[in-house]
Amino acid sequence: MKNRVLGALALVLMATTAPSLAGDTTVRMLYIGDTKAYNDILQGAADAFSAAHPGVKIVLEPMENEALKAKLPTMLQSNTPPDIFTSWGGGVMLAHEEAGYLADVTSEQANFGKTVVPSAISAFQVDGKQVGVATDLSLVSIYVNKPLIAKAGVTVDDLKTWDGFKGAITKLKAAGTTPLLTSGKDEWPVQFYLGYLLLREGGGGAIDEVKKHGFNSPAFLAAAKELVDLGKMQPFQDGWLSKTWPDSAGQFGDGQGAMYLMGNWIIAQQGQDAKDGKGIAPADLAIVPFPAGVPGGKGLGTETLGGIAGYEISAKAPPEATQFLEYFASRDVQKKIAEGGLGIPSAIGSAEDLKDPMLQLVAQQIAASSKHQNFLDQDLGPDVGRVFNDVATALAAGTMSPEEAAAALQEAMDNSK
Amino acid sequence: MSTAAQRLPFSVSLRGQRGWKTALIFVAPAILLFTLFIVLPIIEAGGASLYNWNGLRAPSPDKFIGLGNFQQLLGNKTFQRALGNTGLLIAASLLIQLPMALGMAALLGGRRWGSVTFRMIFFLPFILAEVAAGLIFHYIFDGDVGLISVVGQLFGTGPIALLADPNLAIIGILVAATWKYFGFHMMLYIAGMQAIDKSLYEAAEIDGANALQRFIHITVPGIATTIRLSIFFAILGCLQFFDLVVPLTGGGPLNGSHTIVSFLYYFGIGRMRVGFGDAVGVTLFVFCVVIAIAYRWLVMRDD
Amino acid sequence: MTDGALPAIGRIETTIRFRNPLWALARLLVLFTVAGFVLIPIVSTVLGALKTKGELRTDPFGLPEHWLWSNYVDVLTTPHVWEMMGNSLTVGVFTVLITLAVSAPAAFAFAHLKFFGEQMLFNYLILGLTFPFATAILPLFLKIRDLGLLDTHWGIILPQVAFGLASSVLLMRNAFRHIPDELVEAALIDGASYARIFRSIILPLSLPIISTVAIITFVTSWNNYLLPLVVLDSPPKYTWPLGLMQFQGLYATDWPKILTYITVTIAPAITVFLLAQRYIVAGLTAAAVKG
Repeated sequence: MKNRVLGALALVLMATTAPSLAGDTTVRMLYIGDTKAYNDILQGAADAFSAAHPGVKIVLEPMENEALKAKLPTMLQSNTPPDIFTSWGGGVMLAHEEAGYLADVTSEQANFGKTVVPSAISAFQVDGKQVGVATDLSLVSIYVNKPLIAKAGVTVDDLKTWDGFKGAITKLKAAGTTPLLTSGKDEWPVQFYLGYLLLREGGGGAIDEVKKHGFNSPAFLAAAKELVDLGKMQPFQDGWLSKTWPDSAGQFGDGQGAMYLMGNWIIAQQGQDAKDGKGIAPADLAIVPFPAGVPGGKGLGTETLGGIAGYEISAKAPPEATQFLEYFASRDVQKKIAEGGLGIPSAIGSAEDLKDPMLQLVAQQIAASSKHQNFLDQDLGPDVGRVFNDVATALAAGTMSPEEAAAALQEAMDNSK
Repeated sequence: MSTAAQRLPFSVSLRGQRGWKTALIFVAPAILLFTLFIVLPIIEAGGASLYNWNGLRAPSPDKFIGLGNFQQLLGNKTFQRALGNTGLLIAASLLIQLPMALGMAALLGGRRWGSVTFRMIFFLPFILAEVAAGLIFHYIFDGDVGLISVVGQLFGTGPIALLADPNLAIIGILVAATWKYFGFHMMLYIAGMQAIDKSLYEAAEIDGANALQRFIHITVPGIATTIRLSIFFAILGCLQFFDLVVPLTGGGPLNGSHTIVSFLYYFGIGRMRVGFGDAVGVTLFVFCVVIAIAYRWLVMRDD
Repeated sequence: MTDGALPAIGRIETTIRFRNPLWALARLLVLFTVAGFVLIPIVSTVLGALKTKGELRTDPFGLPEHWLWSNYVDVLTTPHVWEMMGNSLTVGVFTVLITLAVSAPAAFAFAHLKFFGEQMLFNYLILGLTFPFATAILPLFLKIRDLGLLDTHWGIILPQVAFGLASSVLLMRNAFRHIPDELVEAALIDGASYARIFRSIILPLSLPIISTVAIITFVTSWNNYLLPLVVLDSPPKYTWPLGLMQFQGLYATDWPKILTYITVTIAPAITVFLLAQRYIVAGLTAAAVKG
């Protein structure tokens, strides 16, 4: 009796653990799926690809941003890692490559070159080895609810300089409007302030400088001090430290705050997470570059912070994964993303597909940038990047001094070597 | 399965081996599973804690840093905070949760109106998953939509964003923990009370002791063993506290509400510093073993 | 206590009982206050699931103005909801079966057999009572990977069995010891093997403790979060706590939907608890007192 039970268990064990050995190829794609329209386009692309390639099945695994970042390190170590997964390049990608978790698709460079712009290819290279491709360009700017600032007597032009920006905060507060929205729980929205201030203080080379000579640099300390001073004005919404990114995007869509320093994906997200499901009407939304003229700054004011995001391909992925990624990155598919206002594709010619005037503006600004700096939490690698988010939030909350911030980052950087 | 030992007279076999072949077969799977999934990983954690390792490949010898991870741990402010929070959890457990459990047990022991119903209600949170309980309290404490905002308006203090304050968020976790676990300890006490010799109460009543006196002088000493046991459970539970933290605060804001294990998860796994995370695990392991041994030796000697 | 009933209730009070009606009133007042503390979060979750986002903000406490059942439709048609509950059930059932299959024979050996190293092996297993699950979660994760069990349900089931062994072996050994040695002796003289004694005498006499261990093991498995979190990768294999957290991540601002999801996933637990509370309460507390 007992033997029979154990025998049955063993059978079930084998049945469940054995991978499907059928002839079909499965490509698993892990991506940030918090926008329904984006999910639908991806599903459409997957279906079309499967139809054109019989026997190839694309399994889409959408995850929320934070969940994906937390889960990816363990997933990559499994025997069945996702074949294609969201990436922002930079130090995080480097860590993946150093561990031997990425495929070598250098031979596909020519094919990628036919579909996407050169910078989208170079952003996903490690020492000349192609490990993926960027599909999406983004830019962090100040998103402004125009009717709200108008009510407080602030104009978009006021926001061009750092002093004007701070003056606007004072006016908005006086008018009883929450000046800025952010997410202190997820932290990465707060680090945009520190990243931009660092670019304005130290210029386009500021990040390389810090990586080489450490965080105890005048530019970083000055940037940190500006953020502390900004935080002292209490510009953020009540309870901002407990708000997640979607929480705060919804608040922006609901008109509960006047400005949000965020990437262009907020255009779609604020509508989706607003209570009425619509959010701020396009006509009421303005996009303003991060203010220039930070006191003592060496920056030109034309440096931009943003991302060149896409997908890495894991070492165990079948060739079909690369083919699907090529197809997904192509203008055919990306056209829908561009037209839907969901992002700025890296596909050649996609700029013409952008219908949303705001995204057109963003695309122009990226093109005009003197230095397009990758998100620092990604660029600095998995550990230092997280510490960067921690200290940015702590600086803005006033619980950390610039010197302490520099020391914490330096320690993390030394430890990660 | 017939062995020589079996055919020996019982009195003889009792002194020597009895069914040892069967025993071997019966015990082996348990020992094997236990060794494979618990003992070996703990030993490996000890080894890995000496490396600066991101967990992606086997650590190379040049990543050996001796006790470096432990040194960093000692100096890590967030870890110190996590230790403090764990201490707070233990304190709240011993000073609020357990006395509350004892009080409820006192009111709900015996056959009285509503006893069974109230016991059931108080026990209910214990069977709910920590993740669900955590999200429920996340909602309750939400400064915008939660009950706490209504309470704030009632008292005219405006919305209280408990979870948005790095110093107060831990209080939200303490409340949720009390809610979730006091019913369990209450049930332990009620069960323990059954074993008390009833004649003691009769005697005390004849001596004219009132209800409170009887409770303090008979019931509490009568369930002393159970109380010591429940304190032990509570302390070990606090040291391993994790599941409620993730949905409630994720350790934030500003990393102010981490516990030892949530620190291990977010700073070890989440930041790809597996060697460092293992150092946290080893430290926790040492805490638990020392406390277990000390407690058994000092407090539960007589039990 | 092992007979699976609520703690027996003595006629003579073991607790505070008030003759004065004022005190009795005070007792009820305290009890109702604490019951409010316990029930309000659950009730407002269930009610909140039936409200719109706007109503939740203005009146989180009251009854819904319009009972909004569409949240349930949305949640119940979310991909994998049913699969996830099914997964949790599968994982729980297999964890229980294997725990019993592994720990009952071991407990019998420790209770009624004599063999070299018995005490040492027993202490070795009991050490597991003080091991926090999380201590070795990272190496455990690597072990599961090396065994090729990552992203499989076996990668959760087997470690869960291992972590439950200490308490289940201890509980069962204590219970088995109450079965008199004479019974075992008599069977031996009749020529029965130990395996047969275990099967035909010990097991049938020990159903209460077996069901207790089964209940504890199942509840622990059903609610487990950390282990599935690191072991499972693909959503179709998720257990429900992972599904709940995933859902919360994707619908972060839509509290009514999240509350609905919570209600849907805790409903089975509450129903089972109400139906079998006598056994669950007795089992869990007996386990704790004896552990």
